[in-house]
Amino acid sequence: MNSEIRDIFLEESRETLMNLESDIVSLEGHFDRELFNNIFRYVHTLKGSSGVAGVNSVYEFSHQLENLMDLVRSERIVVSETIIDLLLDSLDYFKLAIFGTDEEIEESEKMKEGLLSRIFDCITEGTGKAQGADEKRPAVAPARDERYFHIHVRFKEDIYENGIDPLRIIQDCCAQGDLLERAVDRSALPDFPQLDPEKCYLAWDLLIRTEKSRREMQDVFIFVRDDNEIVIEDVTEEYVKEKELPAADVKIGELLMDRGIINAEDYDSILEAQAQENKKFGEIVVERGYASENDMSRALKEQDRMRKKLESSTVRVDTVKLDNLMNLLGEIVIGQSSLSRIAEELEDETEFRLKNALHGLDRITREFQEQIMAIRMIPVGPTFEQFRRFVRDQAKASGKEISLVIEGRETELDKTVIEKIGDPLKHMIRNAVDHGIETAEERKERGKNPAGSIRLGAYHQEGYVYIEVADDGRGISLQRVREKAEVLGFLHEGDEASEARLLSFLFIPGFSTAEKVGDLSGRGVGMDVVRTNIESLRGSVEILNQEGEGTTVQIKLPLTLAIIEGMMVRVGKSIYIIPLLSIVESLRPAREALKTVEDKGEVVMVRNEYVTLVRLYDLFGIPADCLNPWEGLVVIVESGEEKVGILVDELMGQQQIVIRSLDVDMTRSRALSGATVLGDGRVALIIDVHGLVGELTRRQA
Amino acid sequence: MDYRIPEDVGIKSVREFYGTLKGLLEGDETVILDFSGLMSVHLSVSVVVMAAHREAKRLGKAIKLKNVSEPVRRQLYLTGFNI
Repeated sequence: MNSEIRDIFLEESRETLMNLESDIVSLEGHFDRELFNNIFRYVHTLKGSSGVAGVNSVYEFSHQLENLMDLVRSERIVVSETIIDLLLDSLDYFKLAIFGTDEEIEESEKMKEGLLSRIFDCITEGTGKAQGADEKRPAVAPARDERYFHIHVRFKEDIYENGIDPLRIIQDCCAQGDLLERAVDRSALPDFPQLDPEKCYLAWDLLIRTEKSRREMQDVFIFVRDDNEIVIEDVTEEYVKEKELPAADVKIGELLMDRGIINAEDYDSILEAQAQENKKFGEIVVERGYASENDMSRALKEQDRMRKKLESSTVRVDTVKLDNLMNLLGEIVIGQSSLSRIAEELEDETEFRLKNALHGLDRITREFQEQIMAIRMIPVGPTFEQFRRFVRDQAKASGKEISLVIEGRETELDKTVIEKIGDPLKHMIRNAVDHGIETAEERKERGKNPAGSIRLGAYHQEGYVYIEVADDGRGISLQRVREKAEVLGFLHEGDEASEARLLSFLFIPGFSTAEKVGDLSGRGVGMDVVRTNIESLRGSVEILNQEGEGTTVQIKLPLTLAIIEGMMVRVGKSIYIIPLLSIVESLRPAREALKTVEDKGEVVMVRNEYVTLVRLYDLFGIPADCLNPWEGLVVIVESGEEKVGILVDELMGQQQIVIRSLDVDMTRSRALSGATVLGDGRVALIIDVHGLVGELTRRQA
Repeated sequence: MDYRIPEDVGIKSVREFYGTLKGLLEGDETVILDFSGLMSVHLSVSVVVMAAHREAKRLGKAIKLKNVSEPVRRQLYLTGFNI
């Protein structure tokens, strides 16, 4: 296979399968025709692209799956759990067959055989119908797209001779939907004396609004279509001007299928004919009488309109190009800093003019940065949706009934952050399913709904994005956490410990493993891993607990990882950057404000509050000018509820900082999150406030 | 004059119905068609009534309908009869 085609196929398939998974899981318990049509389209897209890419196994399987789905679309089979399981298993097959290793592809072939046999069973036995009585059927009539049809009918004069009453047919036709307009052409009707009552002289033009497809409308005239004048035109476009556009390019065949003009079988057969006869798709459609020339022309116009709209509104960009763009912007920011330094060394007027120009450039650079950030921002919805399947499977495996509620799916986050939150979220959701939510019996005993609920939500607040995984389960037993902490030596019997401190133990490596073995409350399994991952994104994790009512794990993340506003501080000859968002204030404390407190170490008294003091020169083993806090400056920073004072020699001003990642060996200290290049070419390390506070808390613990 | 349309009027008897109506129109100024008992009509019957109605108007006469059931009213409407 051509590597370029293969890459496109893989990229498209990844997106298609992600959407497919989300839609299939959404379908469970709530049948929605439009959703099912989406699923059909995704399978169809997969079939088309696998055909082009030469992945015949996937192509052939998709075709069989389409046949089954076609029966559901035509309401000959009801969507049942059997069908949904089959769709989900088919999805797993697709994943293996497309992205798997050679061994996995081989395995997928065996899987395919089993699936084909299940598809065959569903088709032949009509599984959905057979089980329909026991299974969930849609409580309300499925929502279908309303379409408008203009129907012109002129019966032949001697139609009565065939024993047909045309009025019955017209009535049947009108009964398919709402009759909006009816015009009867009586121009051929002779005057009464010349009338032959056994002849039909009338013609009808009807406008009907219906949820039926064109094919279903045609079926009304099935017994009279051969020798009578029957023209059915889909005129929806004329009546519904603003229709939602699809998210991807629409092929004319798919559009015709959507309109019910052709079905999947017709589509394939036309494609085959197209390959042999070298004709346009539309020509074959018209030749075979599936649609009139008018219909085809209308469909082509609609396709053209959709394409133009898509072309003008979206463009697919390789994410590597976006990263490069961000890096280049970073270089511009660094160059700008260099120029600012040079401006400082110039004569008065030149300095003023250069600074003025740089000020304007700074404004544009910031706007530029905002725009690039906006491009990099993507909604969390698709990432969240992936967990529907996960929750479903986990709940099934643990014998619990759990629903996943997704909120704030439109909340946007930097794509790099989104790519990295998947694993921590999975961990937290698994915790909630396995240990947070009680069994149905336990829940009933506690007067709760037997079905548990997990809420996965996201929202923006104060320059951060918050993501929450909340369950309505049993919550965390603080008493049991305390007992465990005492057993492990983190607390002595009788020690006072706040709820926050007790919950912080759950993030200590090993604590969680011990919990799992001892079945403490089930919470905290792998929470240290979650925190490490989130902190690597410059974020923080907090647990909000309500014993008996549920637990919320809250993740706080920066909007972007690439550029931040930072405060440059000097310690000796070294420059460090403290993220501006973490700084509360800076002060020079009085000598008397310094104290040493048991369990907290050295502290500074700031407005009646003890704040732990961190001496950077001590932490990093570097020389400093000010060894005493009352000679230097203390920068108070905040992470969650905790405050820390960082002793520095001097504040050097704030500026935009382009974050560069550090080599793993250099970042053993959790107090550092990266580095940046300053205007004069020097490298400054960036303080990770969350990491710094976390490290101190752990030492104190 | 009132004329009660036979309940079994249909394509087989439409020619007879047409003849009757023709005769009535030639005589009376106003013909009242009684649809009692009719729940459905064949298109041919409906067309005869409509054509007769048009003819009556042309002649300055009138054809009135009475006891028209809702299904028949709907059928007449679909035939192009605005009643």
